[in-house]
Amino acid sequence: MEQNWIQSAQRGEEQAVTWLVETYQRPVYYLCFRMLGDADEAEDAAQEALIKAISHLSTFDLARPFRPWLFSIAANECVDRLRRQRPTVSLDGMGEDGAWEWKAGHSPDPQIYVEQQERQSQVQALLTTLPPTDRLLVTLFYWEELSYDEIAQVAGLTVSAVKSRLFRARRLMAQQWVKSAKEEAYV
Amino acid sequence: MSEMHSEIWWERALDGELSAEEQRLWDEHLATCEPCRQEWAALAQVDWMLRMTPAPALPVGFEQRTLVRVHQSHRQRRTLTMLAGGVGLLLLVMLAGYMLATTFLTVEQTLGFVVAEWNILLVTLVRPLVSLLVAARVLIPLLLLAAGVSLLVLIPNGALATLAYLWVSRRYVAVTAG
Repeated sequence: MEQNWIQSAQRGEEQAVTWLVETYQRPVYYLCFRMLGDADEAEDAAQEALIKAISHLSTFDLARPFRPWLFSIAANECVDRLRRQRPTVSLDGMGEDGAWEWKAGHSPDPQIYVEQQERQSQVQALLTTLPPTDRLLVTLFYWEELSYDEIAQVAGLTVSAVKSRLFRARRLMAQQWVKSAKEEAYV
Repeated sequence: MSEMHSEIWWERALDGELSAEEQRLWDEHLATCEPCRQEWAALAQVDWMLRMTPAPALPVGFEQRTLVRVHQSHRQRRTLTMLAGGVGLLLLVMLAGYMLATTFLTVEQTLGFVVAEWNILLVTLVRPLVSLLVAARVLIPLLLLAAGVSLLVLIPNGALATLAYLWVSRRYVAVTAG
């Protein structure tokens, strides 16, 4: 089924392009957000990645799974941005994009909302301690539910390298978490 | 016991790949090895936190904006591809026409025709390009392209006219001197 849509999109059919975008824009955005940590950057990166994927669809081998191929494009986009990144300051003072969601009428329980926001912040803080490739591995493993083989395909590594790097990344985050917990205890 | 301090063991333990006997040994080890217990607790905590963290909220209007942007880019690329193909084809036609003309006419006559009938060239080039752009409903590139094509036709035409004039003048001088 998905193959038919991809073939149609390769022929330039707009309905097929729409289907691909609607199916994959969320997971691509989630990947970009985890990699970049900023909602605006993630949106821009996700859109650029989708545009690049659509424009290079003719090079996609239908015998391969589509998701890892798309994620590798998104990952490369994010890694390039991380390498170019300069610190940015939010000018509108609206804070996290979660605030927009709340104002738009999504009304989660405030207590749960605050807890979720705190956990998101903690997780993003831990992710920023990792180099881009390790951040990608963690994101793909925990949130995109890819297998080791698929992660290796996206990251351009061997499976054993993925396992090793993933473990070290988790270890590094655990050390960082312990350090933060101790610092908070002293405050 | 040394293997329980190895990276491979810890990877397998984290991924739940230990056998029942290995898990029993691992639990015993953690009960007695303080550094391992502390690190394992930290790893487990981070692992839980990562698994429990929900997906980030999508920005409001993200899906709509993404669809619009992707489709816009897709259409522009298709238009540019058509235009490039159109320009390429027209240049080929021009080249073929020039080669054909020089078969039956002299170079001076061909150049003279080009210089004198520049408006035919303009129409031949610009009309199909404009039609393509209008069909694709792209306005700004239309304006830029019209300007570009006019320049393309007029400048070479001016250059051609100058070259033709110089060449003809020299031939005239050579013929009259002889």
